[in-house]
Amino acid sequence: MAAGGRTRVFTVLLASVFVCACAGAAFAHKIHVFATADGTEISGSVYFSGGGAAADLAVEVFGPEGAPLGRVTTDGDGEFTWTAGFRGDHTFSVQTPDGHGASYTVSAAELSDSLPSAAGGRSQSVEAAPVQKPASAAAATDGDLAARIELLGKQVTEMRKQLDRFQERKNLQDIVGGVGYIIGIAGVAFYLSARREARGKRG
Amino acid sequence: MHIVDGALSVPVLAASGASAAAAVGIGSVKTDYESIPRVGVMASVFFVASLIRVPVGPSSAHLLLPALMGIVLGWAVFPALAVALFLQAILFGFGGITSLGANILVMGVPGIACHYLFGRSVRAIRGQESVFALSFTAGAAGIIVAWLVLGLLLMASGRSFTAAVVAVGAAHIPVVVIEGFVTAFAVSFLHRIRPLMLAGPALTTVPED
Repeated sequence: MAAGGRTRVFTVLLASVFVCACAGAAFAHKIHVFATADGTEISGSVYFSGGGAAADLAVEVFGPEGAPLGRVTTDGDGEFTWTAGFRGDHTFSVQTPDGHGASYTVSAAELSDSLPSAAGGRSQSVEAAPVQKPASAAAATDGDLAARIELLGKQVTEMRKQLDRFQERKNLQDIVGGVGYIIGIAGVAFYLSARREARGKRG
Repeated sequence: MHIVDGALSVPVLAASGASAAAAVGIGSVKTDYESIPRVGVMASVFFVASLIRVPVGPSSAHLLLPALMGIVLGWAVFPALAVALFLQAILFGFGGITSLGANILVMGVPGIACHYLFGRSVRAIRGQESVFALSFTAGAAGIIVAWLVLGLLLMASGRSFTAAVVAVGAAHIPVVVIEGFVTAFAVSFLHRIRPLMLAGPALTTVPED
């Protein structure tokens, strides 16, 4: 009778675990930063898992060597902009007061060639690479091309956000896998404990 | 309420890591053969429960169940949390490996506090309503204690205690109520159909036969 009662409790608990797992598990209050560069303007957004915007949050900006460059505050939609003063890696970092944080680096290669390079020699070689190709393009199509590039940039930003959201989604396999690990660890604990008990009885 | 890597200062990480290791040690010693399945089941329940999101404004919060774990497990709450939090960190990037000790304390301290404050009385009383009311209080208190421990850890790392308490509190006030109900339903259920589940590990050594 007692064994029957125990089995029932475990069945109920395990069932509730699986019901919970299927109820659409997701990450809580984790924060993300994403930014892209367009010429000298860097625009980015800060959002919580699930897509909610992080408004009025301070974003710290750091240079290539981690030197602080300043800070900006996100607007009501969690967006911010930063004008780059030089061509080098810019790192945007946020921290919420409750101990969550994230950062994202816009690499030197994404910024306009017209900017002065950062102190390091690395970006100099990057600057040497682009030859004056745009000059050969017909002037009439320039505006059209710029519009298309801008559109492409927006699409890439959207895809990046989708990717972040996808990585956030917990799939059932991971959850079941985790529960499996716990059962395995409990099994090992059982074995060790049983051995200790057997030795205690013999001794 | 999971603390990520890099949020706490190194001395705080070291101190919380050491105290969490000691607590896990005590918990493991106190866990006897009979109570291992219970510890495993509660670790699984916690592992899954903290993945359930409760949307609060633009952000969200999740269930922690420290009171339920404390009342059911006693000191074994620490080894259960160690396993579940480690798996959450490596599988989901929830919390972090260096902040594992701090996270064990954030959720384990309220657990053990509820064990001492409410565990004995929940086991002793008989009326269904009283069990429900007491375990609701335990569930709500558990979150408030977790919230304070988190605030203290952040303060010890040189962050503003008030800012942390306000930020966490804003997201966790609904959780306090939800936790109260979840704990109350779970504890009343166990109290009715399997009261032995509510006995702390140290008490199960009393032979059943």
